[in-house]
Amino acid sequence: MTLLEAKGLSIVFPTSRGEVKAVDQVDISLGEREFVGIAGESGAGKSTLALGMLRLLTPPGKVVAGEVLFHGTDILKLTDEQFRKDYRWTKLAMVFQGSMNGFTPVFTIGSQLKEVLALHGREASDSTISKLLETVDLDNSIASRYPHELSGGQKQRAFIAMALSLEPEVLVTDEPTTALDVITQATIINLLKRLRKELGISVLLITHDLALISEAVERLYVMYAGGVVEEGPSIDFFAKPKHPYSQGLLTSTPTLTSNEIKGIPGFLPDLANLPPGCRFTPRCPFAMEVCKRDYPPLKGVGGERVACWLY
Amino acid sequence: MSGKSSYLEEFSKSKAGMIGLALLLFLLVLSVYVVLAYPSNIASTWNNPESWQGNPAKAPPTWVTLLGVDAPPSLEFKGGQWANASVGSGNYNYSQSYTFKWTSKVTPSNIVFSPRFSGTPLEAEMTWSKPDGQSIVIYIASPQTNSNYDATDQDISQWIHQFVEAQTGTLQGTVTFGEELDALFDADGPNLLSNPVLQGTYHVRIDVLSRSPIALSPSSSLTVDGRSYGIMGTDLYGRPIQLGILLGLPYALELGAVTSVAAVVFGVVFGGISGYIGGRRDGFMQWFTLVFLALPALPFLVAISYSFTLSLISEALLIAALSWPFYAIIARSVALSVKSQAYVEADRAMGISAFRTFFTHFMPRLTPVTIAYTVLGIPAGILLAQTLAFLGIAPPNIVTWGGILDEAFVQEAALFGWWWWVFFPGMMIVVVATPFVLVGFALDKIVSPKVSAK
Amino acid sequence: MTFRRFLVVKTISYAVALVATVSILYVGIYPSLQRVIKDQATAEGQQFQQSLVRAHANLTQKQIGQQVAAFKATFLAQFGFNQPLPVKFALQLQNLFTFHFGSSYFTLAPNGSNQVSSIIAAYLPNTIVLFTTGTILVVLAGSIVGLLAARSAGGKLDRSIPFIAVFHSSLPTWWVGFLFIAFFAYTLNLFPSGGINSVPPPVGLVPRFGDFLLHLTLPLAAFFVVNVGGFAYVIRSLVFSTMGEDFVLTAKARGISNNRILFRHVLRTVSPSIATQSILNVASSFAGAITVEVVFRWPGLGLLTYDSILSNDLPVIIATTFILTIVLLLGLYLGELCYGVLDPRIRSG
Repeated sequence: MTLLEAKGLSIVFPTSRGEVKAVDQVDISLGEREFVGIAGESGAGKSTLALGMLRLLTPPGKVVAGEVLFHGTDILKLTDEQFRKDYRWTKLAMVFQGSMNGFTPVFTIGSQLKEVLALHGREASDSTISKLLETVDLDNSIASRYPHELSGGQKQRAFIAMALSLEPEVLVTDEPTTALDVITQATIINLLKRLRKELGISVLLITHDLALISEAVERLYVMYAGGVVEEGPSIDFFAKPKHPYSQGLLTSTPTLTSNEIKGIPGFLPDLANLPPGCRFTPRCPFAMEVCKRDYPPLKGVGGERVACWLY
Repeated sequence: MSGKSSYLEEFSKSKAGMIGLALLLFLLVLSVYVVLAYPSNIASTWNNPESWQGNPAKAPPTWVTLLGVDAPPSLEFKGGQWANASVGSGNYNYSQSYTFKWTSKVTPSNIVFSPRFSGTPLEAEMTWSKPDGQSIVIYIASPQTNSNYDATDQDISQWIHQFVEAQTGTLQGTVTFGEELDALFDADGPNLLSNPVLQGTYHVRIDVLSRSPIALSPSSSLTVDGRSYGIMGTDLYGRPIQLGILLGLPYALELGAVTSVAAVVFGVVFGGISGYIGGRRDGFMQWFTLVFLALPALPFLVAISYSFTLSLISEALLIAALSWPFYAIIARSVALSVKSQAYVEADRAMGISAFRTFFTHFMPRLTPVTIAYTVLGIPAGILLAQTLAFLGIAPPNIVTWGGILDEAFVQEAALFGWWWWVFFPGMMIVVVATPFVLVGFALDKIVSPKVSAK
Repeated sequence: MTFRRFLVVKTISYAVALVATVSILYVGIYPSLQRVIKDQATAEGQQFQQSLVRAHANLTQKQIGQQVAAFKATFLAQFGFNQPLPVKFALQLQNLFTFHFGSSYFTLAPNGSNQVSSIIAAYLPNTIVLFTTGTILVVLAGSIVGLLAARSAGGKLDRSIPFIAVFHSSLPTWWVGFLFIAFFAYTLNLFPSGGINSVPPPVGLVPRFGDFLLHLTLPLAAFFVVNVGGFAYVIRSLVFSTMGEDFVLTAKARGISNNRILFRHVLRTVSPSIATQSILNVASSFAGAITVEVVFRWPGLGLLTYDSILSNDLPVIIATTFILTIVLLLGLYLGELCYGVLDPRIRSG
C-alpha cells in the first residue's frame, strides 16, 4: 500500500539566467515498510526532490506543479502551522546530507532530543533519551555532550536517533553516509536496515553511491537532470540496468569484483536551458535522432520502467 | 570567484553605490576648487574677527525670507569714484553719495563705514538722510585708513545719541546699540525709539575733508548689515558659515583618505597574516591587536597633542595607528575562512610555499575586502578628526567643522536659536561621510561571501 | 580548553595587554608628563619653603635654599629623575598604576580636593553609568531589530536597516546631542539641556532619582540613536549567515516553530559572535560616548577632559587618558568573558 507519493512534482529555482528546473514532473512512491532508493549524480535533483516533498525548500526555490500525497492527503495544500504540528517529525522525519551539522552547536545532544520530544508532547525523560541512544548503539553519556565533541559517525547516529524519536512513519535519508569513512558508512546502512525491520518504518534513501545501497534497498529510482530515467526492483536493476545512464552510473562505481572504473564523459546539461529531447543525449553512447527531438516517456521493460528510446 | 570587471559591473548596478560615487566626485571637485580659489593663509583671515566686521553677526541664511521671515540681506556700497572739490584756503573736500531703498519692517543689524585712502584727512562727515527728510550728521575726526567704523564706535554713536536726545529727550548715556539703529531707521518724533521702521529711499552722503590732497580709494565702502546672510548664515563674529564649510572640506577629505588608507592597509595585511599563519604567532598577533584596540583614540590623541604639535599628516597617521585593529580583526576572520577552503590545503600538499600561497590565494580574496573597508574607514577617520577638532584639538591654521561647532557650543548657539550655526557644519560631516558609506556598503555587499548563494 | 583555563589565559593576556597599552600611552605623553612632574616639584617646593620659613625663623636664606633643593630632589627621585630611563619608566608607571596623579592646576573635586585622583573618582562613575547603560541598550535593541530584520528577509525593516546603518557611520554623536538639546530641551522644553541633576536637586530619594533619569534621557538617546543602527546591521548579517546553516533547516524539519528557531537556536548560536561584536562596539563608540558628555555637560570623564583642555590642566588630562584606557580595556575584558561563557566550545572542556 502506498504511503508517500509525489505526483508530477516540479520544482524550480528562479535565477538571473532564467528558471532552473531542478525537478521536472517526477512521480515517486513509497510503500508501507518499504526501503526505496533514489540514485543519481550530484545535481540530478534528488535532494531537492526530497526537500520539496517535506516542504523544506528554501526560497526562492518553489514547487510549481504536482502534489505530494501522504496517506492520500496532499500535504502541500496544508497550512504551514498544520503541517508543522501534525506531520513534521511525527510522521515524516529526515536525516540530512548535512546532519553532521544538523545539531544546533550550542546545545547538548540530550537537550536537543528532549526539546523535540517535549515540543510534540512526548515524555522527555532521561530514560527515554538513553533508550533512544541505545537503539542507534550510542552510549548514554553522549546525551550530555555538545555536537562538536562527537565524531562524525556518532553525530550521524545521534541524528538518526533524533529522527526516530517520535516514531515517524517515513524516514527520508539524504546521503546519510557522505563524509564518513567506509566502515562507518556500512554500519550506518546496516543500522538503517535493522531499524526499518525493528520499527516497521518506511525508508527513502537518497545517494550517489549505488554500491552502498545495492544490498539494502528493495526498489530503486534513478534520476538524471531533474527527471526519473529508470525505476524498478533492485534485483532487476542490479542484474541489468536498462538506461544507458544507469549503466554508466553503475560502472562508475567501484565494486569488489571489478577494478575497472569507467566514468560517464561529459557533464549535466544546463538546467536553466534544457534541450527539447532526452537530457542524456549529449553524453549517451547510443544517441539517436529521435533522442534529440522528443522526451522519452517511462515505459515497462521487464520488471522495470525506463525512459529511453532504445526500448 | 568572479573577476575585476564583474565587480565593476555589479557595482554599477547598485543604485546607492552610484549615487554615492557621484556625490563623492562632486565633493572632490569642490574641494579642488577650494584649494585653488582661496589663498593658503585664509585660515588666519578666518580666525581674525576684524576681517568679518562688515558682515551681520548671528544672521540666519537669506533664504529664510522665502519662509516669511523678515530678515533683510546686507547691502554693500563699494567701488564708487570720489568727487573732488578744492574748497579754498588749502582745504580739500572729497565726497560720495549712496542711495538705497529699505523695504523691511526691521532695522538692519549694523552700519559699517570702511574708508580706504592714503594721506591724512582731517575729518569724515556722514550725512544720513531718512525718507521723512530728517538728517543725522556724523563727524569722524581724523579717520584712519583700513579701519571699520560701525554703530558701536563712539565716533559714530555719539552723534546718534545727540540726535536721539534732541528728538526724544532721552539722555545720551542711556541709548543702547539697538536704539542707535532705531534712531537711524525709525520714523522721527518724540517716540523715535519705538516708532516703526521707515520704508523708502535713504540717502547717505560722505564728505572727507583734508588740508592736503589725499587719494581716496574706490574700495572704501559703506555696508548696511542686514539680518540674514548667504546660504548658511553667519556666526557670532559675522563669519559666513558657507565659507567655513568650504574651507573645511579639503581638510576633512584629505585626512579621511590618508587615515583610512594607512589604517586599512596595515590592518588588513596584519590581520591577514595573523589568520594565515595561525598557531602561537597568530595568538601573539591577536594580542598585539588588542593592545592597540584598547587605546582609547580620543583621550589618547588629546593627551598626545600636548606633547607634540599635530600636523595634518601626523594627525592622520596617529588616528590610523589607533584604528587599524578594527580592520585587522575583520581581515583575520576573512583569512580564516579562506584558509579553510580546499585549494589552500591543496597548495600545501603540492609543496607550494606559504609565502606564494599568501599572495596567490589570500591577497586576491583580501583585496576587495580591503577596498570596501578603506572606503568605509574614511568617514570613521573624518568623524574622529572632527570630534577632536570639536574638543579643540586640530592642526593649527586649518578651518575645521568641528572647530566651528565647538565655537557654536561655547557660545550656546542652541540656546539662542542660532540653529544654522549648529546645523550646517554638522550636516556637512554627515554629507561628506555618507557617500563613502554608500559606496563602501555597495562594495562590501559585492565582495563579501554571499549568504543566499547555496 | 576548559573554562577555567580560558579564564586564566585571558586574564593574563589582558593584564599584560594593560601594561603594554599603558606603556604606549606613556611614550605618547612622555614630554608632557615630565613637565607636569617638574611643575609639581616646583609647587610642592614652594609650599615646603613657606612652611619652613614659618616654622624656623632662624634659618638663613642659604640654608632654606639648600633644604628646598633637597626636598625637590627627593620629590623628583620618587619619579625616577636622575635615574636611568628604564628605572624612571618603571617608577612613573608604578605611580600611574597606583593612581598617584598629583594635584590639578585648576579643577577641584566636589569635596574641594585638588588631588587628581579624587577628581577622577568623582567623575568616573557618571561616565560608567552613561556608557554602560547606553551599550546595554544598544546591544539589546540592536540584537532584537537585527533578528527581526533577518527573519523577514527582504521586508521593510530588513531593507531599512542598511540606511539606518549608513546614518550611524556618518553621524557624530555629539552633534546629534546638539540637535537634541536645541529641539527637545530648548524648543519643546521636554528635557533639561544638560547636567546630571537640577540645581538645587529635588528633595527625597524618588524625586531625586526621577530627576537624574530625566537628565540621563537625552545623552542616552543621542548615544543610542547613533549606535543602534550599525549594531543592528551587524547582527542582521550574522543572523543571516547563520540562517543558511544546516542546523536551521533540520530544526525546521523537526517541527520547531520559526520563532523558536530564531530566538532559541539561532540567537543562542550567534550569541558568542554578538559578544565579540559588542566588544568592537564598545571600543568604537567610546569616543562618541565621552563627547556626548561634553554637549550635555554630563559630569563624566569626557566633560572633565574637555574642561581640562580649555584650562590646560595637564595633570587631569593625563590622568583621564590613563583611566579611560583602563575602563576601555576592562570593558573589552568583560566582553571576552561573556564570549567564553556563551561559547560551549570554551565552556565545556
